[in-house]
Amino acid sequence: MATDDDDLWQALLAVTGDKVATEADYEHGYKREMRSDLLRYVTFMIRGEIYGLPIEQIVEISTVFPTTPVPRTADFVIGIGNMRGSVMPVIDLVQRLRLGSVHRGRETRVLIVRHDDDQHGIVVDRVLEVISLPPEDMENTPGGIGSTRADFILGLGRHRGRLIIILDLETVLAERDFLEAKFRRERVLQ
Amino acid sequence: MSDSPEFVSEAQEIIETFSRQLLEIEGQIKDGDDYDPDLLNGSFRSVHTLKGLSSLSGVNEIVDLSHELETTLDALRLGKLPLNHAALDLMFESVELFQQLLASAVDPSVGHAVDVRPFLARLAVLSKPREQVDDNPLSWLDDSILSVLTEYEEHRLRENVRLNRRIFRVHASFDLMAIDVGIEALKGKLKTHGEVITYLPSADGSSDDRIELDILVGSKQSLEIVAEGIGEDGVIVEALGTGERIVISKTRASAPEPEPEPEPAPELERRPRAKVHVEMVDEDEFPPDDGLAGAGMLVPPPSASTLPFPDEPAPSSASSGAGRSAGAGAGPAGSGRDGGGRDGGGRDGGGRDGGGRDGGGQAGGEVHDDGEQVSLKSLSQTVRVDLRRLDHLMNLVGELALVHANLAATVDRMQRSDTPVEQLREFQDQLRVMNRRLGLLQQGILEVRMVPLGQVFDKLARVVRNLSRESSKDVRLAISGAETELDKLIVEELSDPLMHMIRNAIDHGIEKPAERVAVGKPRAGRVSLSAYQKGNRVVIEMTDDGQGMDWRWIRDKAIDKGVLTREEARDINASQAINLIFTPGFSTREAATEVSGRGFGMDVVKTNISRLSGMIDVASEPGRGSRFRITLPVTLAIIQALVIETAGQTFCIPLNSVLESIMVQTDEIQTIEGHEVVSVRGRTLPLVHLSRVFDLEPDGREADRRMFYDRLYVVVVGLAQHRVGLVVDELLGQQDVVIKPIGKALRQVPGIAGATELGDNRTVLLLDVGTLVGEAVGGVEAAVAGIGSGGASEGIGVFSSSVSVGRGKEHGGWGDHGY
Repeated sequence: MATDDDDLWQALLAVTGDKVATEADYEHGYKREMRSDLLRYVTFMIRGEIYGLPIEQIVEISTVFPTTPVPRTADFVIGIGNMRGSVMPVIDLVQRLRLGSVHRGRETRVLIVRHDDDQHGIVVDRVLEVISLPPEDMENTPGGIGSTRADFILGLGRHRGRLIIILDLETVLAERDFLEAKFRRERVLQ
Repeated sequence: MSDSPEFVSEAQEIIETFSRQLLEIEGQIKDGDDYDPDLLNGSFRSVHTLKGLSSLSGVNEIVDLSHELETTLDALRLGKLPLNHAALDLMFESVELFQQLLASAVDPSVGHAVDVRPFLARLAVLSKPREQVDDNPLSWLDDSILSVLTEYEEHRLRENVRLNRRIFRVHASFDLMAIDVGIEALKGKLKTHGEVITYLPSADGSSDDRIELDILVGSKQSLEIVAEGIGEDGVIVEALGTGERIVISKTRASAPEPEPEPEPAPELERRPRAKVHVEMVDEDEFPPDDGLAGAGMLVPPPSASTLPFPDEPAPSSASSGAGRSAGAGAGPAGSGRDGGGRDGGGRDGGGRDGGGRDGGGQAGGEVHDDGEQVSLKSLSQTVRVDLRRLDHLMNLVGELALVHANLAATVDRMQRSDTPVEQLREFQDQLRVMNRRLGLLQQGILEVRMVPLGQVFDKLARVVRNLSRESSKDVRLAISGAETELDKLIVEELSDPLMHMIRNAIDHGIEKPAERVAVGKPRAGRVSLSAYQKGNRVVIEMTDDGQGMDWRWIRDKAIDKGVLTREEARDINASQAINLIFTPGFSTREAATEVSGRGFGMDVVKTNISRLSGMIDVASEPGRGSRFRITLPVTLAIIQALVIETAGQTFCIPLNSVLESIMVQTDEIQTIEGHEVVSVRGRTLPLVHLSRVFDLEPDGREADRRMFYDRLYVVVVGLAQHRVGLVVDELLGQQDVVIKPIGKALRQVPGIAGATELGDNRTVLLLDVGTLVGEAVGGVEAAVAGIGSGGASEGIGVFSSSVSVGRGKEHGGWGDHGY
């Protein structure tokens, strides 16, 4: 099981050019005890905060590809892009989380995720690494974060002393939010 | 295993066949007391095949249900149970159950557990044997015949006697090697006159290579007519009971003979496979059951050892010499004698077979039987293909088209460089050939995706039946154009909207029988479904002769429900009012019935149809009925598109909704209540700026640009009776594009139908013209219609409403030019 994923990650590494830690690194380098209940997350950086998404949800990590803007969509929808023959919506995660907008740079990456049978592209500032978190290191969202952002957060994890914010794709990619507000409800009279 | 797509689609097909057979039986019973026993046999076989198929796949629920059903059908077939409406009702119910079971077999999480026990209990009640009245109408019949009949045959014999048919014994002799062909031919002829009850081997001694058979036939016709119809030399026809007999001689037979003769050669070449099945059918004691089940389960066709010459008829009809040598090759043992005898027999048998088939096809009652044989044949020649694979092929074709476009661009560049002229020309020629082939390839793949609409219509027939029962209204469904073909995906998506429309028609439209009689209409309501192709669109019409809709009443209802404000209601016209029925939550019912009235049905219809980039159009006349007309593209996968540019962005417009592109001088533009319109050939055309409706640039920028031009490109688009001019910056050209889905999230964007790729790896949005026109009309139409009612309605044909069913031709002046 581990070997397949490692292959995938070696491949991803080639694509992204980023330093990605693999399971093998942990085994040899960190000599961690083997556990089967570890959950693995892809982590990425937004505005100095570290976010994570469960690795199963991620299909591919790509460099930025051209997109076409789609009218009548919310501001976080960058447009549609074509990745290996399949057309998918591409969103700006920074803007989705209402933290400004993504800084396009050398390290900008698009996470291709599968959600609800459709692929989506999620643009992030920088992809960090893949980490494993034991379930007991996960916390529920603290009640203190009263903002709407809390809806996007599935939970919090701790890794080497840093807080990892695990996102909930379900709400991040909620379909109705893709439309510009005034088109969300069907007009009664046509 | 149970979720294998092959199983599901095959089971689905069988269930649909079963339902069709039931509908047909019911129709025949309605028309008269009699029904075609072959239909009942057919339905028995369907259930039997389904049982076998599902036990192979381990779907035990279906096995159990079909087993019980099979028992009942067998009893019906043997006349142990009367085939009445109660029995048919149960059968129809089983169709629904089968479908639910199948659905839950596909996805156990979706379907709630289907409980078949209540149904089985009722089936058991039905199946309880009744007191048989023991009068024997067959007492006059020779015991030697009765004693050899199977139970089923005896039942058919009784049935024939009960229906006052005469019973004939046809004595014929067949060549041993060509018996399958010969019997088939004879059976074909007999079927046009009556029912073949059984074949009995004759007791008379005969030569080694010939078999003599007695065939029992029940027919209403006289001995002479039957004998005339058979027209084969040496056949003896005898009327049982009276003892009359006719020996057919060649001289008599020569008259009807020439008719089937011209056909045989092509007929035979096309159908060698059919004979394989036919033979399997004929050799069993209860003929069609095992043969059909076997074929349905894809048992390999008999090999050369069990069937020495499967292809024999074809060569033998082509030339007797070739036939003989082929025969000798296939069966070395005793080939001399067999070859000779068979040759002749095979040829006439084949000829008659062709004739018999035609005859059968023309006699109304036999059509179904023939259809079934056709479908048997197609089973062996069809491949089931997952739609996704076709999509994949289609994508590849699309990508090839892109390669082609790139090559063409290369040629353009080469022209500008110093490439030798002859090489350039060669290159261009090849490119043109490639383009043509690509077109054919595309066409071919598209055709593979096409299925006849009949698939949906059959399901609807069942819906109509159930609903008319539930609502105790008598409703007849008339179907035409079931053979019209549409993309498989569209056909699938259509079944829900059509079902809602039918429900509405029956629940709201058709009156109760007593009311109908009171207003002088026929007792039975009539719903008709028709489909036809019109250019590259398919039109489906559903009309009913019910009470129709009164637009004023709908308008008032809409005000009550808060769908419409009083101000809006004042300006509304008839067609807009009728279109209110598509508003979600709008129902004219006070309380929802089981059938309809929750107010979401027509919303579903509208949503589904517009998702298929179709358009729906309603016309209704109070007291006379309503008509719904759906216009759909033939396929969604590849379309021709007009590529346009506005505010720096490129878009595609489906060409089938583009009526024309015109250039308009800016000073021709007038405004009506602030909305821009332009007069084109005497008609007022509202203008819509794409860059404005899509908010593509800041306010004012467009006006700045406009300063530099004194004319505009206007693409006139329209669907149904509405026409709108889309103002764009540039017309870039026309292109075949492969439509790619854009995912659930963006599919809901109003005005966008999908995406596609143009040659330079750009992703481009495809406009949903239906929605855009709808939006534009919502705002602008009211303004234009306002003046229309002020007297100039002739000039504004664009929006003339179509209230009356009878005046359908008059509306939509532009439509007549457009298509």
